[in-house]
Amino acid sequence: MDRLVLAPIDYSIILTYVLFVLGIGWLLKEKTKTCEDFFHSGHGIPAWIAGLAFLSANLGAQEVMGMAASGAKYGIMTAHFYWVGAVPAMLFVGVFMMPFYYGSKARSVPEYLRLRFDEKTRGLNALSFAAMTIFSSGVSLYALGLLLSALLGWDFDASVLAAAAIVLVYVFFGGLTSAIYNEVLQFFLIVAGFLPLVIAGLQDVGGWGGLVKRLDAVAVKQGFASGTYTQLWQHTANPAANPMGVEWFGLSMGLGFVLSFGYWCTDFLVVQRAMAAESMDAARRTPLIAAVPKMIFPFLVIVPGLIAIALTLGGDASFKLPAKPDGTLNYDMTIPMMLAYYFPPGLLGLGLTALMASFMSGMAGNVTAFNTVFTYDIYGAYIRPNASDSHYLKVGRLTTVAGIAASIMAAYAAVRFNNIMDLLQLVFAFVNAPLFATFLLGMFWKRATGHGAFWGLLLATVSAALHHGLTLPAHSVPGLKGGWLGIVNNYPSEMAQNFWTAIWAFSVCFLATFAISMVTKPKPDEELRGLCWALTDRPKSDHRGWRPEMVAIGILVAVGALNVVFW
Amino acid sequence: MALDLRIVIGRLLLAIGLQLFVYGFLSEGRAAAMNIAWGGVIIIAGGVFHLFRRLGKPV
Repeated sequence: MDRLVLAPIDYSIILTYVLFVLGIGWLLKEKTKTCEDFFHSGHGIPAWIAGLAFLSANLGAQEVMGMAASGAKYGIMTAHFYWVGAVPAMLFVGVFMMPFYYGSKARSVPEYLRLRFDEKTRGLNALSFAAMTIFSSGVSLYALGLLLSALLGWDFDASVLAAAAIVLVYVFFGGLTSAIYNEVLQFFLIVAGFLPLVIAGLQDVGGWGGLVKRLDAVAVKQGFASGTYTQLWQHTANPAANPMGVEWFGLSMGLGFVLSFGYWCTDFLVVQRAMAAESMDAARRTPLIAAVPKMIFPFLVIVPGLIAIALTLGGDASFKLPAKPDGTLNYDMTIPMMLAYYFPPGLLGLGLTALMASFMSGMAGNVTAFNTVFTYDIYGAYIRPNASDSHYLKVGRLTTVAGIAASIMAAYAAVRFNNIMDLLQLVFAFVNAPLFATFLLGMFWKRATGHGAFWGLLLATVSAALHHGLTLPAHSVPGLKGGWLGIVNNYPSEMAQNFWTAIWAFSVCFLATFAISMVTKPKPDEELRGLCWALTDRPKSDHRGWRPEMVAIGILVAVGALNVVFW
Repeated sequence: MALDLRIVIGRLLLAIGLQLFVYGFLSEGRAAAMNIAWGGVIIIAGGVFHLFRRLGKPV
């Protein structure tokens, strides 16, 4: 692939963004004097900012580039990750779960688990979450270094260290507020950078109608029915009939229920943004506000992938996705290649700035979640409990430095082990999917016990590993992709295997937690007030026209309509 | 909170939009058309964020 040559205007736009980011950190320094400020933004973030940060914390560049890549590989079915795999879960967390997170006054998700269950459940979640955030942040850094060196010829080490230093400066000084502000800036940069890309691409292929026509031809060429790349559900009766290799049940249960609810409802990285909101009402509205742009984002990140594959396999354009050494298309390069193809100098700088902002915000989001969980749930719980606020603030800042250093090490580990990204996804499926069962039972069944939750989580993780070890996706060799214990079942695709691993983990966790809870002693009702649905007063909205339940129903209707339109 | 995010977003968009807009006038062909058009749109968006400040309480 030819390297891009940036013009001075492109560098100038990148530099403008970097100066704003550093300026935010510096200006917030004076306002960040207590743990409340550093870890929780003083609980003073308005709903619209918390909402956009809630969305953007999940909009790392791997997500943006990955969704465009999936759009090119799987077609519009990638939108399931938004319309089935995100929006309903976001509405659920806003309407039903936020009253417990915010109302319990817990400072983190692991702390909620301590209040609801016991110390060992909190410890297990805190340790696994801390490890996942560092790996995730490191992978973000690695991907940024890789992209800049491949695309622009920049030095990998210098790119990694410069990005880490920028994130360190603004998180160290401004804490969570700084991270949230930068996530909101990143949101607007992505919109400003990607909207012209979508418009230019659609003009090129003859509008939406022209794109559909080209994709129908591509689908037939690939051996699928016409319409496979532009229809969401019509080809999901048989996994062999769509490029994703999944059928409607695995899709709805695995992605739409277990994986999405497991992520959006329990991952402290996103939940922390809502917990920083200025009131209970704002905290409940945070995921609902985020759900609206989330619903629209497929048009911004997936459509470029559709255009890329239509041009590449359409055969009549000079645009071609590059090939990997094994001859298959390198879908991961969809966004960088599209930026290079459509954008002149100036706009190219804006597009690259949006990508860099995504990488750095993704990393900062992980680092802020890590420093909070480490300080409160590991250091404050097991190493030095009952220390002063200023002590924990100092530890929080030192943890930020340590977290960034560990992320850099994880980035270099990713260079050495080229499968670390796959491994990370696997760990997410093992850890996050069962956690939703724990929360579901913990919040809505007061009989659930700490022993049930802890052993349910452990058993589910082990059983998920067993399921993975005994199954293998098509065209894969036994190893990291599965089948390392023997093969009892073959899945048509990796995605189908992931969905069923998640369903398996959730089911085992649910049943094991239920069974063990039935034979162990529950906490008395007095200790569960504010932590369980049956023992918590329903929060009342102070905005008449903004009742979360009504807003959620409206959004659900809109997302349902999108599913029907693209059925 | 001392730092009003609406102003920060507005100023960042203005700073980027103005650069694109001016660069567009110094360029030719497609680069000129795209940078002027999108620079203009981004400048307007930045201006709108400055106006938002008048509509609500300080953030």
